[in-house]
Amino acid sequence: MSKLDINDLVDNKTGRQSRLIFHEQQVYEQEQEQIFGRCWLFLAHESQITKPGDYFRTFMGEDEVLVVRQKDQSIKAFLNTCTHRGNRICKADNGNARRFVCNYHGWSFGPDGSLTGVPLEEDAYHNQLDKSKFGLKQVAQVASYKGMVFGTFDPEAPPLEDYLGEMKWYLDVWLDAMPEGTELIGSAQKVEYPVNWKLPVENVCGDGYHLGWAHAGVMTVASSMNIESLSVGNTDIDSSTAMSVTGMNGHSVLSTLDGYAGYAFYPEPQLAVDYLDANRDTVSSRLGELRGNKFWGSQINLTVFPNVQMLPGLNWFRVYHPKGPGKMEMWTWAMVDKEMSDELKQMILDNVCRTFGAAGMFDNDDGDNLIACTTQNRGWQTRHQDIYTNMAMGKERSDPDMPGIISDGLIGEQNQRFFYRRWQEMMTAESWNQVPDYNSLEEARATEKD
Amino acid sequence: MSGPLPALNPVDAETYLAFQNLLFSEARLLDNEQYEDWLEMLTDDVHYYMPMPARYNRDEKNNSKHPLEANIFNDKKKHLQLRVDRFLTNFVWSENPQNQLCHLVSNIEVFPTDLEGEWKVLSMVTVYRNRLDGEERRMIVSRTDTWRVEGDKVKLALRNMVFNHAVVPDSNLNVFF
Repeated sequence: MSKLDINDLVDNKTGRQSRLIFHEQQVYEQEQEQIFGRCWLFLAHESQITKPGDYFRTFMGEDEVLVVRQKDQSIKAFLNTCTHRGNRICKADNGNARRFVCNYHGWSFGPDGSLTGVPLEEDAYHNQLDKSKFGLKQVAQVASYKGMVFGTFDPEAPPLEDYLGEMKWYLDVWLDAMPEGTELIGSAQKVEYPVNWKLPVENVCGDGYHLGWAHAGVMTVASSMNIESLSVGNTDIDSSTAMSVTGMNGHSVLSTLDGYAGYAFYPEPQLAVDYLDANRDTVSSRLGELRGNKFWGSQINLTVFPNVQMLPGLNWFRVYHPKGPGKMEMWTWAMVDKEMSDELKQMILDNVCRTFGAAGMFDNDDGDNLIACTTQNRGWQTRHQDIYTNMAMGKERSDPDMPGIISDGLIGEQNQRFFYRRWQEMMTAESWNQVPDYNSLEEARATEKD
Repeated sequence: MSGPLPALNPVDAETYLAFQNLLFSEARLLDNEQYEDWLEMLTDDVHYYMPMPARYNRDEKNNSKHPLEANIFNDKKKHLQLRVDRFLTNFVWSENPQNQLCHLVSNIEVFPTDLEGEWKVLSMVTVYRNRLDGEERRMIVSRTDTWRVEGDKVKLALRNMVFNHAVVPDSNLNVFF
């Protein structure tokens, strides 16, 4: 098969995507190289690896990596594969290690990735092995932003703070609202779906449209607050109560603007409401009135391109690991403010598990829809059809008080269009120099491809 | 057969068979989606608990990073009622058409406890689901129950479950175990 032209597969001006992007192995391979091989990807939260030797096993694209806290408190990450014959060197989810010993021939590596021990080094290798050349392959850059540790395989990638760009203004609504910051709770909820990894990102980054219909069952029984923008059944909406934000180099935000709706799907939200009321002045003094009053506590979907999503209020944090064009693993944690009481943290954890965990009443509505959006493309005729995110095109605006490109209301497809625009930009750029940088509407228009 | 038979203790055969029947009838209610009848089998203070499994090295098995651990279920009766109410809205599109569901209960052991009218019951349940054009899923859960006399019935007061899969192999767990 000839190489697919990515320029033909997505058209941002009409909101069109070819369904081939959810199916073709060669598109997937190109994603591994151009997106997961170059973008900053979430590795771990600092709260998961606090002591030297603490490690966390995760994935960057399909590459399995170990994230390890060093003696000097810095963090390094390595491919989880022995440099001798390629075996996995660590099978546990997380823990603390003085060394990582390969189960195959017993080669051992220090927490800094250096090869420290080779059995029979003298008798069998005759001391001819230069151990300094066989350390674990390091992830090129690792950096943290307010507790979140990211890594990129690309030494040429821009610094993490530049990569996050204006999105930091929105991320801080959670990561920097309270003085002590955030932490992830417990182990990850891991669920394997036969789903292309882009579809759940698209679903959470901007799709308020599905909320009232796909989740009608749980929204009917679980709503504890009457929030205008979260209506059941897609029958009526008030666009002034919420907004979508994107631009921002493909990162995006979907948010109500009421300061409470994040807790609208807690059966008994009072403890959380009390927490919001008690701390809102603190947050406003740190982030300003706009973020403190309108965003903090709202239902907010934050998406960091390509595969990280966090929802303050519902308080989950999630990363999607691709496992082939038609499969992915979804890892979900509860994320909380460190200052919260244990009672509130427990309530949040239980509610995360009940709403968006493996048996989560919201998540369990999304799975089958996303599966079918993926597996229907096995049909040759089907996969040569186009699909669209063309709702409310041309309604984007700027706002002097907020970064990014804004569309009013929760229901729209602006964020999805920019997700696929960024996807296309990363897929076609030969180097970071060719990846456009945009935040505002004017910049986005100026850099849009013809 | 030479040598002594294993003793039927810790409970007599009648008690054992009664609990086996109870677990089988519970499984039938769940297979038939008779969820409100199933809720009737639970005490008002029931705790329905299934932690999310995690893999640690053996020497670090109890090395949890946080005192709070993620769970798949950590429900009291009102939360189970919420899940049932969701099914009953008929808006749970993934359960329409109805999926084939079988709870296969085995490895039953019954023990008396120190309390009169309370038993500890161990069992394993294999939940088999067939849905979406022949897509099949099989999940195995180990259960440690406490069953207790409440009123004129023996009801489930605690179900502590081990989900024997490191990664959940289905796109929803719209089921009870």
